[in-house]
Amino acid sequence: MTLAGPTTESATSDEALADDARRGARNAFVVLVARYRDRIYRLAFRMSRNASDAEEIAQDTFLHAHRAIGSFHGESRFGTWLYRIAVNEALMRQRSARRRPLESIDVLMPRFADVGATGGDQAESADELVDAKRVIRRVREALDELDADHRAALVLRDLEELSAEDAADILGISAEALRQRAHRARMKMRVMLADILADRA
Amino acid sequence: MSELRCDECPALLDDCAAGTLPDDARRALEAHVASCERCARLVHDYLVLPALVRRATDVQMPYEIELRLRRLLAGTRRREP
Ligand SMILES: [Zn+2]
Repeated sequence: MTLAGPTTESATSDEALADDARRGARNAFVVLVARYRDRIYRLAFRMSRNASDAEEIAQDTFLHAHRAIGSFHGESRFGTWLYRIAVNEALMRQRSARRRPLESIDVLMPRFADVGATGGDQAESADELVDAKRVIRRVREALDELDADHRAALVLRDLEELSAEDAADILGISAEALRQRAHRARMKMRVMLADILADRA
Repeated sequence: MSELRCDECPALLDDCAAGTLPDDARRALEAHVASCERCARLVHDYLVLPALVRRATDVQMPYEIELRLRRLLAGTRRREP
């Protein structure tokens, strides 16, 4: 994916909408929320692995962005600016707050099953569902084992699929440091998920 | 593009994982990986693992959260410039 948002030739750019919002057009910001809600919520969820935290992080990100839109002058793309706010909200919460436990994975099941090993086959067997649940749980536990900096690098680079440069910019580190952190995070994840990856070889 | 060396693969896989690898470089990478067991194992770290983790964490904002957010935004008055 890119941070440029879903655009067609005629669609108003994020930056033009941000400019309108800055001048006080409320609807412009609502359109930006609609464009970014899923990406920001997913980013928050991946950074926190917990739906309650993800809700708060996503909400605080948009409220923060709304208050601060006057300081957005298009030095970076709007998406980069918004991601930076979300990542900071997530990291801040991790450093300060008590950690909530990982919670039920049932909320994730429909989407995972949709694109599961059967390639979207409707007739998912009970065994496959149990396996999908096990995989989701193991993946989330593995993410939970990473420290916040390594998880952030992995999330931005591998899961959100930003360029190393954009991801590094958001985290305020060099692209080389970003690559190293993402690499180390992958290695740790690979060890923790070795059995699952072997099943998929 | 000439034959890839093993030590060139990690950087290319890194770009490939992020979808930013040009087609000709991707073909060279595929050719190398097909004949090099060591680098084929790296593909797991760079491609299979991220795809698995992406899929296992692919959520959408619940509708009620979006509604609450819209209400909050509607109630917020930004300081006029
Ligand atoms: Zn090789």
